[in-house]
Amino acid sequence: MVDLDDNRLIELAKEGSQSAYRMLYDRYVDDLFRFVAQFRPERTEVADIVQQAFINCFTKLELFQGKSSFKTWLFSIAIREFQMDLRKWKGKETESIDDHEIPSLPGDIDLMSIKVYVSKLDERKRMVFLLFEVEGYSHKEISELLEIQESHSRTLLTRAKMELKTHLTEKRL
Amino acid sequence: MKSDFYSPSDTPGRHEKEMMWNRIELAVAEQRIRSIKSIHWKSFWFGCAASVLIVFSVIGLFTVFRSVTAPNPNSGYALDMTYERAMNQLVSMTPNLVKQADEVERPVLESKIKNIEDIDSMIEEIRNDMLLNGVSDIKRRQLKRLYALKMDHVKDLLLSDEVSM
Repeated sequence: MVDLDDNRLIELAKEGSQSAYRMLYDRYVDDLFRFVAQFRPERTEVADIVQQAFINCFTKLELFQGKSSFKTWLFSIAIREFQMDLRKWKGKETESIDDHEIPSLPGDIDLMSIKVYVSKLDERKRMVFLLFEVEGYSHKEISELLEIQESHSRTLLTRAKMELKTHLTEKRL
Repeated sequence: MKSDFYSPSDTPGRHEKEMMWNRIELAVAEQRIRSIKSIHWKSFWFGCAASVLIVFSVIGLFTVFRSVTAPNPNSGYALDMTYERAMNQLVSMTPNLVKQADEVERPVLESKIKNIEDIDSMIEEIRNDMLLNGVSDIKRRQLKRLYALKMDHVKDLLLSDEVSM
């Protein structure tokens, strides 16, 4: 069962295979835990969110249609578990920014320094930054995950990077 | 960048993973039991509904079958009336036969008439029983035998003069 892809594991889980559930859990628990840990300082709270996200995911597995990847679906459920009011995100900072305007971070950056400054970003910017730069999601996927417009995602990423760049420049000075 | 960004402290420990999994496993199992229970309840009600339908169907079929195959209760009375009329015509001739019979034959004929009267009383009893308690196969058979017996006696009466000759 080790080499089975997500879709096959989901099929088996829907048929009641406990091993399939466990395989899916083992495959994504680290990714989700690390991601959630960037938003909640308490490990017990992180564990609660991750655990509840998996429970919601597994008990509603019948609803998974495969339009997105299982990981994306899992992350979207987990993000809702943050109990952040995503509606507040909508309609704010909607001015569009072209891709070429998104600043790039210095190549010789200290990753631990970035992490420190990423943790200081507000949740919205931090979320988009992590999803785009660390988890590798596209703006289209982020817009679906967070139920925001793609342009909004780009704007948040730009602002996050600008803030980070400012912090890094200040640090160098 | 992903592997560089996250530190080992961001990753859950073995114990944490097992703790989370135990709760997830329990919740998933409970959810499955709930869904199975609801399915069982549905099955139960479907089963009840099906049983009721089957019972009604069987009753309906049985009723139709009986109405088609069971003899008409009035047929017993009709049979009795037919036998009665046929027999009366024959019996009406016997007094003349007795009158015409000679001294030797008369006691024999009278004993046969006495037998016929006994048979008549038995027929009357069955007829009353049929009126009170309805017709049954046994009663119909008894009635038929009694009429046949009565007919034998009447036949003997009719042919008695030929025998004596």
